[in-house]
Amino acid sequence: MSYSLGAIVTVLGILTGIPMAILISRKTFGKLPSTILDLLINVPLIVPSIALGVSLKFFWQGIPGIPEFLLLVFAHLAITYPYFVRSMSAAMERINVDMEEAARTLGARPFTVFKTIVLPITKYSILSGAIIVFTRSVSETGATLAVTSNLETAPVLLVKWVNSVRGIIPPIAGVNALNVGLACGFLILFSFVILLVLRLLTRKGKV
Amino acid sequence: MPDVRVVNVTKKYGKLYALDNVSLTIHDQEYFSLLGPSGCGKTTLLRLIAGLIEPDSGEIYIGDRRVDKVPPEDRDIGFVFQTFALFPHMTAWSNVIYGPKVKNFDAKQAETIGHEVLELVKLNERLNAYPSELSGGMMQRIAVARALAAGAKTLLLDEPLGQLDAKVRNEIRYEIRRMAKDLKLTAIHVTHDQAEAMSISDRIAVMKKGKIVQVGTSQELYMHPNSLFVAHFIGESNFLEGYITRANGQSDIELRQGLVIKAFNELNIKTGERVVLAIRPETCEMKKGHFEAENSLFGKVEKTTFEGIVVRYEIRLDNGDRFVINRPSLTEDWVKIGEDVTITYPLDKAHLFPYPENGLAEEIKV
Repeated sequence: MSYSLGAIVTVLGILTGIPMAILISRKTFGKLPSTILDLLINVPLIVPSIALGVSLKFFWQGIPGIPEFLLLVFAHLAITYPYFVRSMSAAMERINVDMEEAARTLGARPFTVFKTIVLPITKYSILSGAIIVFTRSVSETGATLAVTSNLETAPVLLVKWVNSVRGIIPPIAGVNALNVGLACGFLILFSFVILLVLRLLTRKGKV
Repeated sequence: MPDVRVVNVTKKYGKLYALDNVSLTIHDQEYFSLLGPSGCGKTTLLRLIAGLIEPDSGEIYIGDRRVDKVPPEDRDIGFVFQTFALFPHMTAWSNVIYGPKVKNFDAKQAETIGHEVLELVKLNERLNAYPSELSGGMMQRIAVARALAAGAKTLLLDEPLGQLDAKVRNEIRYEIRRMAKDLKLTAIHVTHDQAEAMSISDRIAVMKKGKIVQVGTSQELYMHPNSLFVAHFIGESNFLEGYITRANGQSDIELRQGLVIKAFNELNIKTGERVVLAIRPETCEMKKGHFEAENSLFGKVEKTTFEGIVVRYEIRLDNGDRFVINRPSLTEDWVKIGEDVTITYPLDKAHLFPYPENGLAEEIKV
């Protein structure tokens, strides 16, 4: 559950994040709108994720038939979006605009320029941004708790288990302190591996 | 190979006119320079011709085709940047054949073209180097090769030598001109370096504050500047301020402290008008001592500078004006500081201009 959600959020994050990063870094609408966009995108970094989840829930609950899973994707997208856009727009700003213009004068259409110049130069930033999005999505708890009632991602499940062990909610069959500890251990190990991969990738990108 | 025409083009950035109703024709196969101080609009004009920016009004033609609405990739131009703008993630070879590739040439044809242009810039043995492994001169040669490989018929160069050291710069500027001539390209070269422009261009347009001040060959601009700005920007000039006391073909000009000298009055400026006489330092003769002669000025040497080819003398004229003279360093004996001298200037090489409305200093400011 957590991983498939993470994967969907990552893909959506890349698809929507790249255009936004271009808008911000190229100042398409001028300097002020770019700055405002940049700030707006960073809001979810500061607001507690549970608050974000609650407001999303309120916003969408008026519309009937919205699947809970979609809400969850929205929530995770909003929370992870700044990480991706920031890493991507920073990478875009490092590209010399002359290079894109040179490609145009050599006969490349704008999309070809993006494919042959921008994408290869920023690919490590895209990758590292994507990994951050994935890990944030997998570990996201607050907003998930607020948005969902019956969908359980790994962290939400953990919260439930911890509560059951501590006797806050009625005990769940088969859940004891050892199981919870093992589950936490697994998540920590998993995160460590992801971060290691991330570090290796970003180092390669600098060469 | 086509001629390039710019007709009544205006480009504004906010309230500032980067180009103010500029018209210009660059001939087929001409090596043309846009010369001027920074902020004069020369790069803006070049980028407009390339299609990297759009004009607010006016028309641009390359050959018979109107191109001001055509995207840069369809203009058959090559653009060479001051920053080289090589693609850092590609080898020299991949950079060079980028144009043929995105234009969907077949692989074999692309390869032939690639080798041809690399032969032209003499870099055939550095195919597999990445840009970061090449020197500045090599990078710029690759950038030129890349522009040529894409089939450019018009080569646009934006300060292409700006980031190279002096020696390399001199070498490459002739190399670029030779290539443009061999391939029968029309080349437009933007620079702020008048020596560079004069040494490689067939014709030069001198620009100032979004306008073209004068267009001509190096010789025309040097010998017959049409304004104080050109007289100052191309080469060097002494400026003597005064009033016309007798207007005629050969007029009398009263300088400071009542000193009267003669000059041709080609612009028919009227008696009583305030004027500036421009005289180039290397056109004058200078002899020790004071003696009466035609078209002469008296003064005292205040400073001498040995500049290699010439010795530069800074002289205080008897009426208080300052005057500079350059003399070949090898041929004549030097005049020492403090010595009295007589300067004679050739009438036909002294140019008389009306005193500029906003002052001389403002007029020649670069």
